[in-house]
Amino acid sequence: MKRLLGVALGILTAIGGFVDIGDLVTNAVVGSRFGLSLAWVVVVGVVGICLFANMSGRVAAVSGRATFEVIRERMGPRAGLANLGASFLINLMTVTAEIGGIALALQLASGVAYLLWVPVALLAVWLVIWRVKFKIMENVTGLLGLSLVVFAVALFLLKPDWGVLASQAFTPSVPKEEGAGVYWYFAIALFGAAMTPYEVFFFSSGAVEERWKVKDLLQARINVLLGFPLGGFLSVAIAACAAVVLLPAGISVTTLSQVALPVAQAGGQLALAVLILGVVAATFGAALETTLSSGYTLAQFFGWSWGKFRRPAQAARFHMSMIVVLLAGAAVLVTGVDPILVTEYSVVFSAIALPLTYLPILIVSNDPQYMGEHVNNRAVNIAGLVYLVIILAASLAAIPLMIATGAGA
Amino acid sequence: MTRQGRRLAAIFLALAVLAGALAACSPRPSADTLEKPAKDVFAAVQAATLAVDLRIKDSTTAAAGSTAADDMLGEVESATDEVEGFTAPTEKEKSLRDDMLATFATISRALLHARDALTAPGNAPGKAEQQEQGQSGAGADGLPEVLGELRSATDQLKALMTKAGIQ
Repeated sequence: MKRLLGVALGILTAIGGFVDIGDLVTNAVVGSRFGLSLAWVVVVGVVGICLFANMSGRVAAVSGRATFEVIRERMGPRAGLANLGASFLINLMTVTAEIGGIALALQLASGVAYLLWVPVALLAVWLVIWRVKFKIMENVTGLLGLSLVVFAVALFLLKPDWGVLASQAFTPSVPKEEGAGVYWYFAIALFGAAMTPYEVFFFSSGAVEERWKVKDLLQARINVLLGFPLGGFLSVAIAACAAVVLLPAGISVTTLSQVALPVAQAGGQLALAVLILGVVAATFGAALETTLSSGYTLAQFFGWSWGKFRRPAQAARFHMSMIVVLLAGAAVLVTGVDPILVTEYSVVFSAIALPLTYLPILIVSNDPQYMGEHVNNRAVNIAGLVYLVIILAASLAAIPLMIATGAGA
Repeated sequence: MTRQGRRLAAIFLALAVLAGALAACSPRPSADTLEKPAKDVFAAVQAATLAVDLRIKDSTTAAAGSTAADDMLGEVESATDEVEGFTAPTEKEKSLRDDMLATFATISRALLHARDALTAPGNAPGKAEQQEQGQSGAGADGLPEVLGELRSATDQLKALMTKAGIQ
């Protein structure tokens, strides 16, 4: 019974933890401009993140060490540094976007300018990282993040023409108002949002924090294989709400306040309150994950003592690096830069950095020296290679498309 | 002229050429160049209209509604800045740019009224009390009036977009 509850809790937190500001904004933007014609990208992204999260979780459970630590040892400091450089910069952008997301959600709740909420968000994130246990932190934010199910409820309340939505999703085409370049630019952004590198590093370091063993792998696999696809379903629901309300009105999403309009229209103030709770929880949870992920990657590369299972005094450099990351993110935001713009760029840069993150994971998870009998099987390797080709194509096309389309303008 | 003077003159000349080139490169008002700012403003005014409509139906909160109106005001300001940067050498182009800017200004005013009306709390002074206090801004009970203003501004923009050949 206890095990069953653990599995249920794991799945629920995986669903709630899947959506972050990148998924929220990118799906709403895409829904308001392309309807559901890019829903297939979410499916591709979810399958990819399931595949690589499983791999990195297995590496952590079998070797007892986080994936990044193993990558650095197995592939040497140069490859490790390339991986660190790419993932750390993306993490920094994502931390900035998530803190901005918390502040924007609090502005939506209070009407007080988001810039005034930035220090509050920063302090809250730091306090939780400093004081709250890993398990509690993960479960509370994940469960509260489930409030975003309100998008799915709102979609039903909006009574859309399901045939039109299904036709957009299953026979995708480029809308005549948008060019093919813009379509593919947003496809890459959605892919980057679904496969953000911090997720796998957080997942594997979290496995070490929670002291996973090989026997825990089944539960981890169930969490990933059920939780992430259901999180992907939430992403599609966000896009669908925007497609039903905003697209016909000619409203292309540029702000978080626009994302809330379909939900308010469908379910009134109660639904709006649940949505704001969900956005705060999702962005807060993701801010914790990205901040921790930054600390994990730095500490694992330089060989510092790390982990929330250690007292802060025993992992001083790990905690200090996270404080610096948080301050840097807040410093970027107080310049007045639009957090939504940071989010939009962070998901595209995320796509650019994907090969540097996922290739080493594929290599390490095939190394019997670390994995013993738990190396990837043939099917996983074929899927992994197919994904590497997709990742590489997305990574190479991202910058040219960004320039050619004026960042999807 | 000394060597230093010649160098200075060359730098000034280069800067003048660069400035001229930049001025020549700045876009001219046309259906193509005005399409993006016009559509951005259209999206902004539509979003604000929806927010006000939802507030009238009590489906959204004052905070969420006013945040939306404020955000949309920012969008219109950005589009205005963009169009103001257009060079209009011919009378026709100048007239198109000025008409567009005038419409944007009307929309900005409507959005300001919307924001004020949305910010007004539920227990805001009523119209009579506002008039007593010499205030002319729209309070919470002025939302239907603001909605009308936003719709009229939208119609004005639509008409101008059609006239300019923007689809």
